[in-house]
Amino acid sequence: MTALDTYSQTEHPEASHTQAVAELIQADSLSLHYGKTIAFSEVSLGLGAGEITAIVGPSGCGKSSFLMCLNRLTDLVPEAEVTGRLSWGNWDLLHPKLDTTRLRRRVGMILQKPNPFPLSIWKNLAFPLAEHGIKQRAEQQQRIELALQEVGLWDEVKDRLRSSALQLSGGQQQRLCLARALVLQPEVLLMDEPCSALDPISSRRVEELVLGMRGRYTVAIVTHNLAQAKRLADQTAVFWTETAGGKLIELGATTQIFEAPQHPLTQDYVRGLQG
Amino acid sequence: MTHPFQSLFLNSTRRNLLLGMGFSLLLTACSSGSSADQKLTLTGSSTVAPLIGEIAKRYEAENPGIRIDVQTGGSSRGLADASQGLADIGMISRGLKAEEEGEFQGFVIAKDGIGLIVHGDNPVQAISDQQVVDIYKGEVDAWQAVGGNNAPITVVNKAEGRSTLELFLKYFELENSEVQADVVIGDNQQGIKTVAGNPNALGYVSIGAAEYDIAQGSPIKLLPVDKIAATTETVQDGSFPLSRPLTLVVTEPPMGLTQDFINFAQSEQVHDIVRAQNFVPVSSSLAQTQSEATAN
Amino acid sequence: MQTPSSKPGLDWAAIAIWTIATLITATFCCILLDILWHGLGQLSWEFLTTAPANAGRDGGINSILVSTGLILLVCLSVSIPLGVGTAIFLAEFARGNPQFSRWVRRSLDILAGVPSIVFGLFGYAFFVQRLGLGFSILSGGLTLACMVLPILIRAAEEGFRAVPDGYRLGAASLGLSRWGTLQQVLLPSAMPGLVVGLVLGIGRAMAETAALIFTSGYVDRMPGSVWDSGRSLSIHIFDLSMNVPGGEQQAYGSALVLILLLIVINSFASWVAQRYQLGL
Ligand SMILES: Nc1ncnc2c1ncn2[C@@H]1O[C@H](COP(=O)(O)OP(=O)(O)OP(=O)(O)O)[C@@H](O)[C@H]1O
Ligand SMILES: [Mg+2]
Repeated sequence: MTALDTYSQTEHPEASHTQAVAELIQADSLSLHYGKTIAFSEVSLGLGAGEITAIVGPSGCGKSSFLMCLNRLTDLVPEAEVTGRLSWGNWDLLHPKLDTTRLRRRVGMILQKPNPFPLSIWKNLAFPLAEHGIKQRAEQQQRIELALQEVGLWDEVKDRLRSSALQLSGGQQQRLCLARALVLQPEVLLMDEPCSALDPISSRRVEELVLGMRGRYTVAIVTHNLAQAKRLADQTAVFWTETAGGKLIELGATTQIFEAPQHPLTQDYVRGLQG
Repeated sequence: MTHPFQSLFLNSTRRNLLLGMGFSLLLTACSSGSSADQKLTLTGSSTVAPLIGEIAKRYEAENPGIRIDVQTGGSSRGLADASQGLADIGMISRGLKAEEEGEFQGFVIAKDGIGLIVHGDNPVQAISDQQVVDIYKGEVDAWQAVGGNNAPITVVNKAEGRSTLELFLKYFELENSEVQADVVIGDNQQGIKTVAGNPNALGYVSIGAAEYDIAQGSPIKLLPVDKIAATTETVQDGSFPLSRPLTLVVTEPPMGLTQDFINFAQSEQVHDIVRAQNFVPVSSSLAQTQSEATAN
Repeated sequence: MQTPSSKPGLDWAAIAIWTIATLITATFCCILLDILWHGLGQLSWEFLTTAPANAGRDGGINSILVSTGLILLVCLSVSIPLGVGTAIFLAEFARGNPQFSRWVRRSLDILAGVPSIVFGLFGYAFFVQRLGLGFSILSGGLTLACMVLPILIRAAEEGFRAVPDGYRLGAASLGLSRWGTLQQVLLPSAMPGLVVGLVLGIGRAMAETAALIFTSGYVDRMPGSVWDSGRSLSIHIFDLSMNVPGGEQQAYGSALVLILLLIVINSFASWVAQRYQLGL
């Protein structure tokens, strides 16, 4: 792919849209450093379309940082610098002139800590829609109801859509954040430890949701819960902190990672946390 | 589409309200330039300002279409602004000094006497000028020494920059750096309140202000200076030594409105105002001679 | 082991804090009661709607109120947009340049501590003389704006800094525009800080005399426009209690009006902010 090619792709993102769905998001020798701190380096990893990829590993090995590269949230960190290659089909995601608004609409993200906006439940979903040009009340209504139903929140909140989202419970808030991402109808969902702040029942709900997305969304989920990774993921990536920041030490089908890990560190990690 | 800056702060009704207010503000702001009426600006002494403010109001009432703005900031401001042309007339609560007479011309409009005050319960009836000097220098610090109670003297002095202070220091031939003050006050009222609240205090304030507060029941009394009783009468007839003229100053010989206003401020028509402000009127002829005297 | 020994220490601290708090509150209440006691008798519709007479000893304060309102309006209509704008810039846009922000912040802190008389002299030299605005409400309002801005900016900036980063990340990951995020999410969440800044700023502006005596001036006539000189409530109170023998009663009345006005303005500000924050 030539530089000219890439440029024209960003100029006409719609043109690449249909092809991209079928493609995977591919990172090649991707590295990220914050000033002198290396978050992770030389990561090569592909997210299969419609598949669920779990990213596991000890704290500080660059999992969140990796996710943030995928929707260019790293742009928000002044000293963050990304090198290597990251593409979606023939769309160069690291291109400096990339339309990040369009990218982020197609790549939704849920953070570890639920972060609904301090607005009403309705406005939490209607505001992103309006920002992306969907201002008609009827369409908003339809999309919002659909998204809330998908995360199983509709019945719980349909009578208090106008009350503050901050009054919801932690689990409800996280599902609202999920709905807020889904209402924009993304193709990819990045989830950074979505269940770490949740009780087991809410966790299970979110897990069911993720399982229900298989085939419809491309999902990358960071988790410290190995059992959860095992239950959900098609493929699993194991990150590990080495001398120069985090590295991807093993990548494979989830069954292989948990039943026949190759890397000695993975063997310990899988055994230790399960035992 | 609303502009982001507007909707940033307010929703539409509130925004319209504020915009409307801003707009009407702009309108009134622009409309003012057209008032072609005559205007006079006076600045200076905060002692003279309330008096001139009242005189100005009466003058405005009698001469429609004329506006007189009175500003304050101290006698030195009055001289500076008159000198720079920022004010048509300066106000000072003293006579012109010899070195100022080249640049300014002064017109006395009233007099203010400065009286020594002590608490009403203080048995001391009089103190000599020398005793005042000794007390303010800190060489005498107990009332016994001047025939009073066995109690320390609380010396009340004026803050730097006040013309009352200047007059006081000049009369008693003191330097402000020599004064050992216990309390430093800004204005008459503060001085009266300080002395009224402290049986052992000695201070000095305008006689007009002190007489008014005594009439209102304030527990203070005025001491004579150089054996002359401190009253508006002795100030008026010129026998009271510690008094000051309230003076209007100009840099050029007054003409037109300026002249007319100065004449008005010196006339008998405003004597009731002068008295109401606790100052002592000077007769027109007296003012004339005094301004001539300063000019010579 | 440590708990019992640290307990009495804690109690002492609590007692000290409570004593100080009580003392401060009591002092404040004393002042308030004093003003209420002396001022309540003055307060009437008449007092608010008639012009001052006899150097302020008689009559009311209608022109003073209008001047005060206009001065405040000029001050706020300049300082709010500038202050909030600068705070937004510092907290949201200048993140990549911490050295610059630190420098700006330090300058603001110094400015916030500058005595008001210095602002008064600056306003006199710059607005009154240099720009030729003369003694006018405009000069006074602009001088006050200079004085209030550092306080407003710092408080508003703290407000923006207190907004959880999750909101910014969440908004960015939804591909929301910066302006949209600012309006819909950041501004409402920063509202408490903005209100604190506004209340402090208004309080300082309304209480100001030194910066106004040289700028908006002393004239107690009803102002025709912002180009006219106008006497603020604070200067009126100062003049009545300091330069006008027998002006004490009216001074108390005016002080009471000033306090009531502050209470009304502050509660209005919090009310507006609260509504805004709730997204109503
Ligand atoms: N904004 C930042 N500025 C500087 N360094 C950062 C920043 N964010 C993360 N880092 C560093 O980058 C490395 C990777 O951090 P990251 O948050 O990606 O780890 P993680 O794998 O998600 O850990 P955890 O499981 O604890 O969430 C860490 O050493 C961290 O200190
Ligand atoms: Mg993380």
